[in-house]
Amino acid sequence: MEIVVSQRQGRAPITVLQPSERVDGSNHTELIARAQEEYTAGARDFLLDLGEVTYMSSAGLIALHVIALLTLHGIVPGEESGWEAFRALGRDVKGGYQPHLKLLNPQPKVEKVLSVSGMDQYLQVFTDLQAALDAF
Amino acid sequence: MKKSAGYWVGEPGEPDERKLARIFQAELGQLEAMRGFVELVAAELGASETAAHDAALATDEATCNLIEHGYRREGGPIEICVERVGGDLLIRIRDRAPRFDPTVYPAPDLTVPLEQRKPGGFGIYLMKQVMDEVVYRPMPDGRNELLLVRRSAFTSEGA
Repeated sequence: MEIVVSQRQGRAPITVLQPSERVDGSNHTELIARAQEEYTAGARDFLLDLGEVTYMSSAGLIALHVIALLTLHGIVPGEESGWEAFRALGRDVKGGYQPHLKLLNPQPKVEKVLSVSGMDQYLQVFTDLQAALDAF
Repeated sequence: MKKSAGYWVGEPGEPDERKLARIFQAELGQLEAMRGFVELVAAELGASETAAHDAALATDEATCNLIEHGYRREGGPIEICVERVGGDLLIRIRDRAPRFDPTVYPAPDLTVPLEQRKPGGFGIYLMKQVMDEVVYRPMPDGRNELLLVRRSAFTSEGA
Protein backbone atom coordinates (compact mmCIF):
# COMPACT_ATOMS: atom_id res chain seq x y z
CA MET A 1 0.00 0.00 0.00
CA GLU A 2 1.31 3.40 -0.91
CA ILE A 3 0.84 5.93 1.88
CA VAL A 4 1.66 9.57 1.23
CA VAL A 5 2.49 11.52 4.36
CA SER A 6 2.40 15.30 4.59
CA GLN A 7 2.30 17.91 7.30
CA ARG A 8 -0.28 20.67 7.73
CA GLN A 9 -0.64 23.39 10.27
CA GLY A 10 -3.84 23.87 12.20
CA ARG A 11 -3.91 25.04 15.81
CA ALA A 12 -1.27 22.35 16.16
CA PRO A 13 0.81 20.42 13.62
CA ILE A 14 -1.31 17.84 11.85
CA THR A 15 0.04 14.78 10.07
CA VAL A 16 -1.94 13.84 6.98
CA LEU A 17 -1.84 10.18 5.97
CA GLN A 18 -3.11 9.45 2.48
CA PRO A 19 -3.33 5.73 1.68
CA SER A 20 -4.44 4.61 -1.75
CA GLU A 21 -6.47 1.90 -3.46
CA ARG A 22 -7.57 -0.64 -0.87
CA VAL A 23 -7.37 -1.21 2.86
CA ASP A 24 -8.18 -4.84 3.59
CA GLY A 25 -6.99 -7.82 5.60
CA SER A 26 -3.86 -8.17 3.51
CA ASN A 27 -2.45 -4.70 4.16
CA HIS A 28 -4.21 -2.88 7.02
CA THR A 29 -1.22 -3.43 9.33
CA GLU A 30 0.87 -1.29 6.96
CA LEU A 31 -1.37 1.67 7.73
CA ILE A 32 -1.07 1.06 11.47
CA ALA A 33 2.70 0.69 11.20
CA ARG A 34 3.00 3.97 9.29
CA ALA A 35 0.92 5.81 11.88
CA GLN A 36 3.05 4.30 14.65
CA GLU A 37 6.19 5.44 12.84
CA GLU A 38 4.87 8.99 12.59
CA TYR A 39 3.72 8.95 16.22
CA THR A 40 7.17 7.84 17.33
CA ALA A 41 8.61 10.72 15.30
CA GLY A 42 6.43 13.16 17.25
CA ALA A 43 3.10 13.32 15.40
CA ARG A 44 0.09 13.61 17.71
CA ASP A 45 -2.83 14.73 15.50
CA PHE A 46 -3.69 12.70 12.42
CA LEU A 47 -5.93 13.43 9.44
CA LEU A 48 -6.56 10.34 7.36
CA ASP A 49 -7.28 11.38 3.78
CA LEU A 50 -9.34 8.56 2.28
CA GLY A 51 -9.94 10.25 -1.07
CA GLU A 52 -7.80 7.72 -2.95
CA VAL A 53 -9.10 4.65 -1.12
CA THR A 54 -11.50 2.74 -3.37
CA TYR A 55 -12.17 -0.17 -1.02
CA MET A 56 -12.19 -0.72 2.72
CA SER A 57 -13.22 -3.84 4.64
CA SER A 58 -13.58 -4.35 8.38
CA ALA A 59 -9.80 -4.76 8.52
CA GLY A 60 -9.61 -1.09 7.59
CA LEU A 61 -11.94 -0.33 10.51
CA ILE A 62 -9.51 -2.16 12.79
CA ALA A 63 -6.71 0.06 11.49
CA LEU A 64 -8.75 3.21 12.19
CA HIS A 65 -9.63 1.98 15.68
CA VAL A 66 -6.05 1.06 16.52
CA ILE A 67 -4.72 4.41 15.25
CA ALA A 68 -7.34 6.21 17.36
CA LEU A 69 -6.10 4.29 20.42
CA LEU A 70 -2.51 5.09 19.47
CA THR A 71 -3.27 8.81 19.46
CA LEU A 72 -4.91 8.51 22.88
CA HIS A 73 -2.47 6.27 24.70
CA GLY A 74 0.74 6.34 22.69
CA ILE A 75 0.77 2.59 22.16
CA VAL A 76 -1.33 0.10 20.25
CA PRO A 77 -3.01 -2.98 21.66
CA GLY A 78 -0.91 -6.06 21.10
CA GLU A 79 0.68 -9.07 22.71
CA GLU A 80 2.76 -6.96 25.06
CA SER A 81 -0.01 -4.55 25.96
CA GLY A 82 -3.09 -6.63 26.68
CA TRP A 83 -6.56 -5.38 25.97
CA GLU A 84 -7.56 -5.13 29.63
CA ALA A 85 -4.84 -2.54 30.16
CA PHE A 86 -6.26 -0.52 27.30
CA ARG A 87 -9.78 -0.82 28.63
CA ALA A 88 -8.54 0.53 31.94
CA LEU A 89 -6.87 3.46 30.18
CA GLY A 90 -10.14 4.33 28.48
CA ARG A 91 -12.35 3.88 31.53
CA ASP A 92 -12.88 7.58 32.19
CA VAL A 93 -13.41 8.55 28.58
CA LYS A 94 -16.90 9.83 27.80
CA GLY A 95 -16.93 8.76 24.17
CA GLY A 96 -17.87 10.94 21.24
CA TYR A 97 -15.56 12.03 18.43
CA GLN A 98 -11.91 11.14 18.73
CA PRO A 99 -9.88 14.31 19.34
CA HIS A 100 -6.67 13.31 17.54
CA LEU A 101 -7.87 11.36 14.50
CA LYS A 102 -10.22 12.64 11.82
CA LEU A 103 -11.17 11.47 8.34
CA LEU A 104 -11.28 13.32 5.04
CA ASN A 105 -13.11 12.62 1.78
CA PRO A 106 -14.11 8.96 1.94
CA GLN A 107 -15.51 7.66 -1.34
CA PRO A 108 -19.16 6.50 -1.22
CA LYS A 109 -18.33 2.79 -0.84
CA VAL A 110 -15.92 3.51 2.00
CA GLU A 111 -18.38 5.95 3.56
CA LYS A 112 -20.97 3.18 3.58
CA VAL A 113 -18.64 0.90 5.55
CA LEU A 114 -17.96 3.70 8.05
CA SER A 115 -21.67 4.35 8.38
CA VAL A 116 -22.89 0.75 8.60
CA SER A 117 -20.28 -0.03 11.25
CA GLY A 118 -21.12 3.09 13.24
CA MET A 119 -17.48 4.17 13.07
CA ASP A 120 -18.58 7.60 11.84
CA GLN A 121 -20.08 8.18 15.29
CA TYR A 122 -16.56 8.20 16.71
CA LEU A 123 -14.44 9.48 13.85
CA GLN A 124 -15.48 12.84 12.46
CA VAL A 125 -15.70 12.84 8.67
CA PHE A 126 -14.96 15.94 6.58
CA THR A 127 -15.20 16.76 2.90
CA ASP A 128 -13.27 20.02 3.18
CA LEU A 129 -9.58 20.02 4.08
CA GLN A 130 -9.56 23.36 5.85
CA ALA A 131 -12.60 22.46 7.92
CA ALA A 132 -10.88 19.24 8.92
CA LEU A 133 -7.70 21.06 9.92
CA ASP A 134 -9.69 23.61 11.91
CA ALA A 135 -11.43 20.84 13.83
CA PHE A 136 -8.29 19.75 15.67
CA MET B 1 -17.55 -7.64 -21.39
CA LYS B 2 -14.40 -9.17 -19.94
CA LYS B 3 -14.88 -12.86 -19.21
CA SER B 4 -14.28 -13.89 -15.62
CA ALA B 5 -11.81 -16.64 -14.81
CA GLY B 6 -13.51 -19.73 -13.44
CA TYR B 7 -15.41 -22.73 -14.62
CA TRP B 8 -19.04 -23.29 -15.29
CA VAL B 9 -20.76 -25.54 -12.81
CA GLY B 10 -22.95 -27.87 -14.85
CA GLU B 11 -24.41 -26.66 -18.09
CA PRO B 12 -25.03 -22.96 -18.44
CA GLY B 13 -28.77 -22.62 -18.70
CA GLU B 14 -31.12 -19.70 -18.79
CA PRO B 15 -29.64 -16.41 -17.60
CA ASP B 16 -31.28 -16.80 -14.20
CA GLU B 17 -29.90 -20.32 -13.69
CA ARG B 18 -26.25 -19.65 -14.21
CA LYS B 19 -23.48 -20.03 -11.72
CA LEU B 20 -19.72 -19.89 -11.80
CA ALA B 21 -17.22 -21.24 -9.30
CA ARG B 22 -13.51 -20.97 -8.70
CA ILE B 23 -11.11 -22.37 -6.12
CA PHE B 24 -8.69 -20.04 -4.36
CA GLN B 25 -5.92 -20.61 -1.87
CA ALA B 26 -6.67 -19.44 1.67
CA GLU B 27 -4.15 -16.61 1.76
CA LEU B 28 -4.68 -12.96 2.67
CA GLY B 29 -2.95 -12.05 -0.58
CA GLN B 30 -5.86 -13.69 -2.43
CA LEU B 31 -8.55 -11.45 -0.92
CA GLU B 32 -8.46 -8.97 -3.77
CA ALA B 33 -8.72 -11.75 -6.36
CA MET B 34 -11.67 -13.31 -4.50
CA ARG B 35 -13.48 -9.97 -4.33
CA GLY B 36 -12.77 -9.30 -7.96
CA PHE B 37 -14.10 -12.70 -8.99
CA VAL B 38 -17.37 -12.24 -7.11
CA GLU B 39 -17.91 -8.69 -8.33
CA LEU B 40 -17.14 -9.58 -11.94
CA VAL B 41 -19.29 -12.72 -12.07
CA ALA B 42 -22.16 -10.99 -10.28
CA ALA B 43 -21.98 -8.18 -12.83
CA GLU B 44 -21.86 -10.69 -15.70
CA LEU B 45 -24.97 -12.35 -14.30
CA GLY B 46 -26.68 -8.97 -14.32
CA ALA B 47 -26.51 -7.88 -10.68
CA SER B 48 -26.67 -4.18 -9.91
CA GLU B 49 -23.34 -2.49 -9.19
CA THR B 50 -24.31 -2.02 -5.53
CA ALA B 51 -25.37 -5.63 -5.08
CA ALA B 52 -22.19 -6.89 -6.77
CA HIS B 53 -20.00 -4.68 -4.58
CA ASP B 54 -21.82 -5.67 -1.40
CA ALA B 55 -21.49 -9.35 -2.31
CA ALA B 56 -17.77 -8.85 -2.84
CA LEU B 57 -17.46 -7.10 0.53
CA ALA B 58 -19.36 -9.88 2.29
CA THR B 59 -17.16 -12.48 0.58
CA ASP B 60 -14.05 -10.60 1.70
CA GLU B 61 -15.26 -10.59 5.30
CA ALA B 62 -16.19 -14.28 5.20
CA THR B 63 -12.96 -15.43 3.59
CA CYS B 64 -10.73 -13.20 5.72
CA ASN B 65 -12.31 -14.76 8.82
CA LEU B 66 -11.89 -18.17 7.29
CA ILE B 67 -8.20 -17.61 6.55
CA GLU B 68 -7.51 -16.20 10.01
CA HIS B 69 -9.76 -18.29 12.24
CA GLY B 70 -10.82 -21.31 10.19
CA TYR B 71 -7.54 -22.27 8.56
CA ARG B 72 -5.50 -20.34 11.17
CA ARG B 73 -3.28 -19.03 8.37
CA GLU B 74 -2.12 -22.53 7.50
CA GLY B 75 -3.75 -22.42 4.07
CA GLY B 76 -6.21 -24.64 2.28
CA PRO B 77 -8.78 -24.46 -0.50
CA ILE B 78 -11.65 -21.98 -0.61
CA GLU B 79 -14.28 -22.58 -3.28
CA ILE B 80 -16.43 -19.61 -4.16
CA CYS B 81 -19.53 -20.11 -6.28
CA VAL B 82 -21.57 -17.19 -7.56
CA GLU B 83 -25.11 -18.01 -8.62
CA ARG B 84 -28.18 -16.28 -9.91
CA VAL B 85 -31.42 -17.87 -8.77
CA GLY B 86 -34.38 -15.91 -10.01
CA GLY B 87 -33.90 -12.40 -8.67
CA ASP B 88 -31.46 -13.45 -5.96
CA LEU B 89 -27.68 -13.41 -5.97
CA LEU B 90 -26.15 -16.31 -4.04
CA ILE B 91 -22.54 -16.69 -2.98
CA ARG B 92 -21.52 -20.11 -1.67
CA ILE B 93 -18.20 -20.33 0.12
CA ARG B 94 -16.95 -23.84 0.83
CA ASP B 95 -13.82 -24.84 2.71
CA ARG B 96 -12.08 -27.76 4.39
CA ALA B 97 -11.12 -25.98 7.62
CA PRO B 98 -12.26 -27.37 10.98
CA ARG B 99 -15.96 -26.79 11.69
CA PHE B 100 -16.42 -23.05 12.03
CA ASP B 101 -19.73 -21.22 12.17
CA PRO B 102 -19.10 -17.48 11.90
CA THR B 103 -22.79 -16.62 12.11
CA VAL B 104 -22.99 -17.31 15.86
CA TYR B 105 -20.58 -14.50 16.74
CA PRO B 106 -22.39 -11.69 18.59
CA ALA B 107 -22.67 -8.29 16.98
CA PRO B 108 -20.42 -5.56 18.39
CA ASP B 109 -22.08 -3.23 20.88
CA LEU B 110 -22.11 0.06 19.00
CA THR B 111 -23.14 1.97 22.14
CA VAL B 112 -19.81 1.28 23.85
CA PRO B 113 -17.27 4.09 23.35
CA LEU B 114 -14.39 3.29 21.04
CA GLU B 115 -11.91 3.55 23.89
CA GLN B 116 -13.69 0.75 25.75
CA ARG B 117 -14.06 -1.54 22.78
CA LYS B 118 -11.54 -4.08 21.56
CA PRO B 119 -10.64 -3.45 17.89
CA GLY B 120 -12.27 -5.91 15.50
CA GLY B 121 -15.50 -7.84 15.45
CA PHE B 122 -17.05 -5.97 12.55
CA GLY B 123 -16.50 -8.52 9.80
CA ILE B 124 -19.50 -10.72 10.42
CA TYR B 125 -21.59 -7.71 11.38
CA LEU B 126 -20.83 -6.03 8.05
CA MET B 127 -21.54 -9.27 6.20
CA LYS B 128 -24.97 -9.48 7.79
CA GLN B 129 -25.68 -5.81 7.15
CA VAL B 130 -25.00 -5.86 3.41
CA MET B 131 -26.57 -9.25 2.66
CA ASP B 132 -30.13 -10.39 3.32
CA GLU B 133 -29.19 -13.85 4.57
CA VAL B 134 -26.02 -15.42 5.95
CA VAL B 135 -26.40 -19.16 6.55
CA TYR B 136 -23.81 -21.65 7.76
CA ARG B 137 -24.13 -25.32 6.88
CA PRO B 138 -21.79 -28.11 7.91
CA MET B 139 -21.65 -30.41 4.86
CA PRO B 140 -21.85 -34.22 5.13
CA ASP B 141 -18.38 -34.59 3.56
CA GLY B 142 -16.82 -32.53 6.36
CA ARG B 143 -16.63 -29.25 4.52
CA ASN B 144 -18.13 -25.99 5.74
CA GLU B 145 -20.48 -23.99 3.57
CA LEU B 146 -21.41 -20.38 4.09
CA LEU B 147 -24.27 -19.12 1.97
CA LEU B 148 -24.63 -15.38 1.38
CA VAL B 149 -27.89 -14.23 -0.20
CA ARG B 150 -28.76 -10.86 -1.65
CA ARG B 151 -32.44 -10.61 -2.56
CA SER B 152 -33.65 -8.59 -5.54
CA ALA B 153 -30.08 -8.11 -6.68
CA PHE B 154 -31.04 -7.81 -10.33
CA THR B 155 -33.57 -5.01 -10.12
CA SER B 156 -33.50 -1.45 -8.93
CA GLU B 157 -34.65 -2.81 -5.53
CA GLY B 158 -31.23 -4.35 -5.08
CA ALA B 159 -29.37 -1.21 -6.04
